[in-house]
Amino acid sequence: MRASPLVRHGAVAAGLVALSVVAYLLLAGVQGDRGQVVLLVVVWTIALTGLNLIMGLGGYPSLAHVAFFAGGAYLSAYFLERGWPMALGAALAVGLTMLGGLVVALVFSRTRGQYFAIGTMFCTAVVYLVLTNATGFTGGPNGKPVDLGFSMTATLVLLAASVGLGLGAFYVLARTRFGDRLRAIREDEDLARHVGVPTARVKLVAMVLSSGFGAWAGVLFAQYNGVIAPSQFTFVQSFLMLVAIGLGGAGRLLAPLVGSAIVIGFTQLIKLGPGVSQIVLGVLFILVTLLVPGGVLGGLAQLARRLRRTPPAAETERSTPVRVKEAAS
Amino acid sequence: MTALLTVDRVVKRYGGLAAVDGVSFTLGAGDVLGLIGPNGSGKTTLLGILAGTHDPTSGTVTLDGRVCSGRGAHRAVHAGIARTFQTTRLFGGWTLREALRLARRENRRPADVASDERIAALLALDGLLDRPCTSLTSAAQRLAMIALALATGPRVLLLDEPAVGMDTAESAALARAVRDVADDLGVAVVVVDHNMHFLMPLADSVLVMASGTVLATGTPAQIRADEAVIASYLGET
Repeated sequence: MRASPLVRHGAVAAGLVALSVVAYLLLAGVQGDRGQVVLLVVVWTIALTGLNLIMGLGGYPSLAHVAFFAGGAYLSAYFLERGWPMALGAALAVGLTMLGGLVVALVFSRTRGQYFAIGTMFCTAVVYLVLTNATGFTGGPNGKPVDLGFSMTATLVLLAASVGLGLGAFYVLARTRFGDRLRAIREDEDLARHVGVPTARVKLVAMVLSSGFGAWAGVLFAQYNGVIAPSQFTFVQSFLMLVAIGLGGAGRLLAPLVGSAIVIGFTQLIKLGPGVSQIVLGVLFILVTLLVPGGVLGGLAQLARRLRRTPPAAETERSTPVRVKEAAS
Repeated sequence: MTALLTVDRVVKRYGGLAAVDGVSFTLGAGDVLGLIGPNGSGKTTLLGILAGTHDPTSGTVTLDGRVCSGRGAHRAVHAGIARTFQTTRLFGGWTLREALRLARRENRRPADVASDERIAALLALDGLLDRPCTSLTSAAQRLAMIALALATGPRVLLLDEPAVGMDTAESAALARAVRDVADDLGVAVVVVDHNMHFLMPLADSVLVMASGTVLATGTPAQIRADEAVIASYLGET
């Protein structure tokens, strides 16, 4: 029944190229408020592809992702201000942020679940405080303008290409041993260690890669937007990123795109008044978690399987835990 | 015969409590050692130290001349010591074949590892390789956990109460499977269990623990007749 792997990979590649083309056309064609929505969806998709590695495949709910996003944006702006070439500044911004990701990973690799979430949220809070208070570097609460490093066309092309390439990288990574290792960690980290997975190292690599995606998205966001301010990088944004992955379907290829579209759509398009869209999103998140734990994409996949009437044995929920915590004897 | 596994004066302290207090023994390839003792006597902790789950406070575990204790579970597995758990732990909705593939790829001596089919045949799991682990019966899940440990290509296999929740027929089949694993693959096996009807016929030798120390070692027949063991654990029959 299934298409050969080569055909499937080819179809995915073609789809991602098409997605990049559509992203470019929308970025170049849509103006005003709607243009801003398109930009945010594109930028978030790039950033969340990284979050989908650590949170989607690895099951680690990182709330530090917006800090990496901010790192890319602010550091690249800083290097540009110093008159450094944009390519170098961007590379340094991403590199330094990934170093930050390494530190976060080293500090919090011993924590799990909600403790990991709280710990990484703390990182975001600290970064926010730095952005607001280190006025010499960051421009303080009002933010600062960003010099144009790439031409506008180059920024648009990079944004559009990064969506497809980023998702393509995720698609490949998810199919390598690295992806299997992360999924094993999500299912049962102790068991993974006991079949030989070097869990600490795998989590570290995932976190550093994830921060790289966030930082690169930040670089492009700063370039396109022209202004950056701490209010764009609050811990509320971190939560929304987490919600977006959950809504889209954690670990699924297109979860960043679908999740971003829903979250950005709610916060930017439907003007429900300040705070109300967050409340609606929160309720939506709870409902999806309760009713379709696999997110929108997981739900759709389940529906498609049911329509094809696959034997039920082949479609047990991936997330069903089969174990209880081991009791000491 | 030189010993495959040497456990030398292993101690594990939690604060003032010595959960394992100076345990030593050796084990040869293909041997099955039964590890018994009252609850809280340190059996699972000892197993955890052998598997790298816990670091020993002092003492060493040596596999084939190489110290492999205190370096983390993944390194113990790479060295050739694999364990199962008291409670059933598998990778959720993965099929057994997917789980075995992961374990196999983490292993650095792939030539030593039996094929999926061979492992399945040894454990009477034929035909179940491509079903999600969650859809297996609980007894099959217990066996699948052993299969997963075997896919890492261990030279020492540690089984923590493998027969828990099994009926007589199932535990008899498990005993045969463990015997086959020891005989056919030359794996040394340490089995912790409270079910003497399961353990005694299976074990080549038995080590009895009490309060973290070795109370007695010997063949199953010797242990059954040992007065100290009867007094502290087995009871009069």
